Amino acid sequence: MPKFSAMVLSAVLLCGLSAWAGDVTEDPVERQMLDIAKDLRCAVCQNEPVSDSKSDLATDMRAIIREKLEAGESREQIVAYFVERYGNYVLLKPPYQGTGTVLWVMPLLMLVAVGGFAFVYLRSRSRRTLPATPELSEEDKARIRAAREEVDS
Amino acid sequence: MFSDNFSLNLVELGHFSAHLAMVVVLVQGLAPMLAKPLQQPRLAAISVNAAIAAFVLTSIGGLSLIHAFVTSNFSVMLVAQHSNTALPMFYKVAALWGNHEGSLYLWVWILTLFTAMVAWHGRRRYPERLPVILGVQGWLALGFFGLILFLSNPFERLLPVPVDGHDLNPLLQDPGMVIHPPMLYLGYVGFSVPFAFAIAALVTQWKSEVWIGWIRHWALVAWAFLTTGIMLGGWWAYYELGWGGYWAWDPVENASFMPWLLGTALIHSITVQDRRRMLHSWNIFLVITTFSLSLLGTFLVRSGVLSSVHAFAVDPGRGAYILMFMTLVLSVSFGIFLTKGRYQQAQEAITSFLSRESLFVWNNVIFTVACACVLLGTLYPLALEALTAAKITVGAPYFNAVMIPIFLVAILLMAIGPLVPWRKASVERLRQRLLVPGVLALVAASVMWIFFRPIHWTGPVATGLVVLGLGTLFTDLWRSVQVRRSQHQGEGLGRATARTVAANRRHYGGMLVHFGILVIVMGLVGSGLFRSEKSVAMVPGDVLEIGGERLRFDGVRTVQGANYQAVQARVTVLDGGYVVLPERRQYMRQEAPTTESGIHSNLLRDVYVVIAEPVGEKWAMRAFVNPLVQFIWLGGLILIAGVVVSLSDKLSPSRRRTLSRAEGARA
Amino acid sequence: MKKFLIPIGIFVLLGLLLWRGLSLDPRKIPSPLIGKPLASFELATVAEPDKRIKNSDLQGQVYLLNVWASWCVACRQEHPLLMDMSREKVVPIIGLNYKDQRDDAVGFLSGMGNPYDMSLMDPDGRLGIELGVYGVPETFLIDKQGVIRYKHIGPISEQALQKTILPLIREHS
Repeated sequence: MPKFSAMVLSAVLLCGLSAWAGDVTEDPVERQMLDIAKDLRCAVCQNEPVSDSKSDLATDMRAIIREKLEAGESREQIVAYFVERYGNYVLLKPPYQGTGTVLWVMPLLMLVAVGGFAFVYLRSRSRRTLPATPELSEEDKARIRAAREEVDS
Repeated sequence: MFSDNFSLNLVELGHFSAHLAMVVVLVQGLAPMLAKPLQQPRLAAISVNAAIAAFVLTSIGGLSLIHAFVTSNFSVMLVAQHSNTALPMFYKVAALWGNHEGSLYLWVWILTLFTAMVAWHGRRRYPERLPVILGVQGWLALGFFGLILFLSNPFERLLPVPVDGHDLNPLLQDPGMVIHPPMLYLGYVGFSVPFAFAIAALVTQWKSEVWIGWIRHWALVAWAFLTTGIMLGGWWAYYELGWGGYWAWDPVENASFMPWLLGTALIHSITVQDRRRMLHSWNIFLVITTFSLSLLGTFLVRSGVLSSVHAFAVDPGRGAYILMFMTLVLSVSFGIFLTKGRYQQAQEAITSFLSRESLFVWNNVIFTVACACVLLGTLYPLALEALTAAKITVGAPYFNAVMIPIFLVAILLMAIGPLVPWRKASVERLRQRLLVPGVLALVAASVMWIFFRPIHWTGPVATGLVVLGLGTLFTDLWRSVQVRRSQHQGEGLGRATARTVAANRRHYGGMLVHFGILVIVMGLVGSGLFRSEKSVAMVPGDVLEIGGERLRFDGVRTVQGANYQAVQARVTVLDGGYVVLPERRQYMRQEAPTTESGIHSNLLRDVYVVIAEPVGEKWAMRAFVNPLVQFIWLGGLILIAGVVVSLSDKLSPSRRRTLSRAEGARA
Repeated sequence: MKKFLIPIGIFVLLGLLLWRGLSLDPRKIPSPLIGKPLASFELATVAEPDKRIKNSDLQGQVYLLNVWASWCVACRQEHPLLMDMSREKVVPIIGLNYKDQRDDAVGFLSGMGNPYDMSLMDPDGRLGIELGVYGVPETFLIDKQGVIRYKHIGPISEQALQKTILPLIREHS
């Protein structure tokens, strides 16, 4: 019984506590900022997005993104701002044109090439006539039965 | 004083053993080569003893280093730089592989371990080829010993002896990191065994019916370790790095993923060779390439050509050595392959495009392309910089965009492949078998599409494919159990299922691996597409609502760890009253603070809280609710269990062949 | 076996690439700002906190803009070289004191010597980001029109000075 009352008490306490404590909500600008920062590389870090990095530069970059968002700039404008200063290097997703083209085209080409190669292989293999597997003799069949039973048991 | 001397001498003994081991592996490599020209066939057998001796000697060296770490012997430079007296014992041992020199030593230690295991395993089973196999591994070990002893010597002394050492990178002070590198290396180095078998097969014109079973065995072992290593790496990243994710497509992660992808292709196409006697040269090519990618991975991690969170100190000299060694291994092995690879021809034909063997070929296409894409994304920035001096980044968004569609195709193949019989499938019967799982899959996909809109297209597609896969997996098992029960009247369902599985452990082990993969995919879909994330500033008492959970921030306190000081926050998950304690740690001798995330997991979701810096009165916090993350680790365990079941199949290759031919004759 | 020559050829290319890669520094990022005008700014200097210097005030001369900070270890390495240059009056050197405290900056200059004609204060690092700075020290060469002509990342070495920077200065003045 004391256990139960303790539970009730703590439940009441919890409710009470959560009743007067403020519910915090996330600042929508913060979310937008992090969404943009997620696709930018922190230049001093090693392969880390600006959103996750603890470095000074990343902190500054996050502050700049915030300011620009509050000034009403769009995602594209903000990303372009950093690309103009740091180059394509800051983009975690390489651009579709220019130096990034190869990256987006090659996977498809490789799929076509390897797939085509496999197709040709399979066709050439299926056209080839190989000597038919000789019929199994009675002796063979007996051996197979024995082996099967051994496996099954 | 006596103990100090003892300790010093022990390291010298270890150093000497390592040198001796290098001589022994040279003998191990030379003996089988010299046996013929010297007309001393018995000479070759020396390599077997040498393999055992090399392992013993390398172990003495390794244990002496571990002893130096455990006793904080700072006269060893490695210990002084990567350990200190305050470091917990657990991490003192692991500090051996938390650095460049030590991790390379672990590499070669594991290589000699595998060589010794092969020597033991093969002494009765394949004694006449054993010396050649061991010889190949001897040359590999020699290459690495050269690097270790001449360019990155872990036994290097430091005079005068410092009072205390530096510290192990705090990020590495995590249980996951203690076992992650050894597992990964067991995988990387494990592929050296199939590699040695393949080279020996080419050189001695070994009949593939004999070696294919052994290669399959060792490739599965290596694949299982590599998988475990990669999973542990993800686990470590998830618990330690504090960004709520587990895989970042970091170059070093990719380096371990490439051999995994090709290894996966290999363990599938080996089956085709085993069952249908074709693809011989392709398999040998895959074996060589997979091991080459292991070497490439080692090179990428150890040379510092790619910047990564995992890379140790940049050292071009060592990089040049590994690169030259890799080039040598590659040119010799591909040279042998090109001149002798055709010694065995395919003996059977493809009967139909709709057959198990044909689907295996498509599996190989998918995994080869997947591997090539990872290679492209990892090395393209380097290529671009080398050619044009321009620099770009290829990060996670690229890999997700390219790889996810490829993986979805792989899951589709995985779902239907096991239903398709060898040789030729009847379209009618296949349609019958796919009907129920297919309808279920469509229903599942539509449900997700309707209830969670707007959702990324991968969500419904992946869900549908997972349901399809589960459906075919269970209907397949169900059918076999029914067949068995009709043959063995009176057997209970459980017993019949167990007997069915036991009778074909190889097949059902594979199916269990597939099941594990599907469970992992569920975890990836859940945590990838349904993750909630919030970044807020809170004062004690504040409540944050996120992803259906209510988290209350109770306050912070300072805690004193063995070798760090931390600010620990207390956050209560109100629904259930669980407490999580995220920390922000300041390690002695380290500048940047590290975060320790506070996680409460159940099967359906993880609550993941990270505490950042104080903002005035408030504390910045990042909170995540990650659905189904535990499925990823659970799936990993199932997958490993599947490999174990598959490996427990004790049928000898020749007996298996008889069986498979019998099946063919029946069909 | 000929069909296998293609993948093997790819591996050979890979090897050559990696060999080249060994000599590249993964930490150096080329700047897209070369050939573009210097960003506009209005900043105080270390010596005169109340004065405001605009980029137009600096135009009409070829000068080096050296990003430095008192907390930066590598800056101490290149400092003697900058002192020599300023003594020989090769070219005006404008400092950009990056994310630093005024007192620390003044202390650094009085202790190590001041090679700068003036040092702009960029306490919040905003001009740094405008210039694509990601590590200190970095050095920009600005021509008479106020266009960035060259960027050196990391401490200036004697070799870099003689081989690259001085010829470029001569070319543009």
